Amino acid sequence: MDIQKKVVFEPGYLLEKIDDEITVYHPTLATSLYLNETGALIWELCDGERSISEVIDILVENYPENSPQIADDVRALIRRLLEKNIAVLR
Amino acid sequence: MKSPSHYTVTFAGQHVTIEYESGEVYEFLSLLFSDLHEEAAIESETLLWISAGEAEDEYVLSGVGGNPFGGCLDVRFAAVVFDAVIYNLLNDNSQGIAFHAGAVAHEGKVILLPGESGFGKSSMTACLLAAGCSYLTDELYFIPLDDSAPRLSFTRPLCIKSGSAEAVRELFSEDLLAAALGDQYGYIIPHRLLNPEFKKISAPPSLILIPKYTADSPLSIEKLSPAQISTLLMTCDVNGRNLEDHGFRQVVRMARATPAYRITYGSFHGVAEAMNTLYKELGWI
Repeated sequence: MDIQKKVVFEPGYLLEKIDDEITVYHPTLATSLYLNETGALIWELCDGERSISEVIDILVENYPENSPQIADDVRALIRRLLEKNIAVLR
Repeated sequence: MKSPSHYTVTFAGQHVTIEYESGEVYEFLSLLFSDLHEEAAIESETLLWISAGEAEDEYVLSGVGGNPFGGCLDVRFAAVVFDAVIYNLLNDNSQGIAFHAGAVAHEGKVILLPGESGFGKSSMTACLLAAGCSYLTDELYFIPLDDSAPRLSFTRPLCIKSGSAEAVRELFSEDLLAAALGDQYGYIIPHRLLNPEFKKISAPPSLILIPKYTADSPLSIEKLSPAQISTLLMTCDVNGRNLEDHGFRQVVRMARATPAYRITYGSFHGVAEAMNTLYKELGWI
């Protein structure tokens, strides 16, 4: 995964944030996705402007105690988004 | 030649009429759909036909656009009839969202058991019936777009597939199962054998319980968040494509309002006790 790229979500998805978690549904793709608190944070940081590398840097800066696993968590979530075709890298 | 008769099944404002000729087929349809049958004549186009096959005791189910299915009137034939009827009832329905879900009631409170095929919703429904709950459906639950309208259960007999039959035999008496339709494909158990005092309940669910059968798994019940249950429910919708947002907003509303748990089980042992503990936690008893 090229972490200099940006995550761009497929338009048309529906999202609901509930208690710091997120449920996403994409009607055209008929696919749904659950994001826990960490996943929701990563989703929100992936605003189409920041690169994956920048997202990782922000999380490491704000959560230094979790820095060893942050890059893996971000990559794992983005892989899920790509597998479900909810996002592409640009 | 005998003139054909018609049997109409009604659910969520939609009708499916089945044309047939023999009394044996009428008895069979009555076993499957007695709670969903309209006695009064309804203007409804015939969509399915059950006609005599070539061999004695063999019938053929045919429908508009579907492949004919032939066989005797057994559990497998019933499964095909159910699939065809449900497809026709929901294919164009945009009045609400239907879920693949079982539903039972405990002290008048509805417990919804959503799950895709193979996740154990019928067998967990059976288990909760054996534990004293009353039956609503083991297949389909419909939530109208209008939140104040009654919720609807597709009240058919309890249908147990062959893979779950052995486990379910532990739950019910031999006499009860002898009164059911049973063969190598499973059981069709008229629900009044389980609930002689059956009454429809149209209240919203008070609990969502996701059954997850895993062989040899210890019994566990874990709480699910509204975001988790919303996501899971969207995988169980049947006709969402007919709705502008596939029912997403309605699902989220229900998930926010309803406590939800996942029950993982490898056998039915201990389920009744675990449910009693859950009822206490929920303040039901």
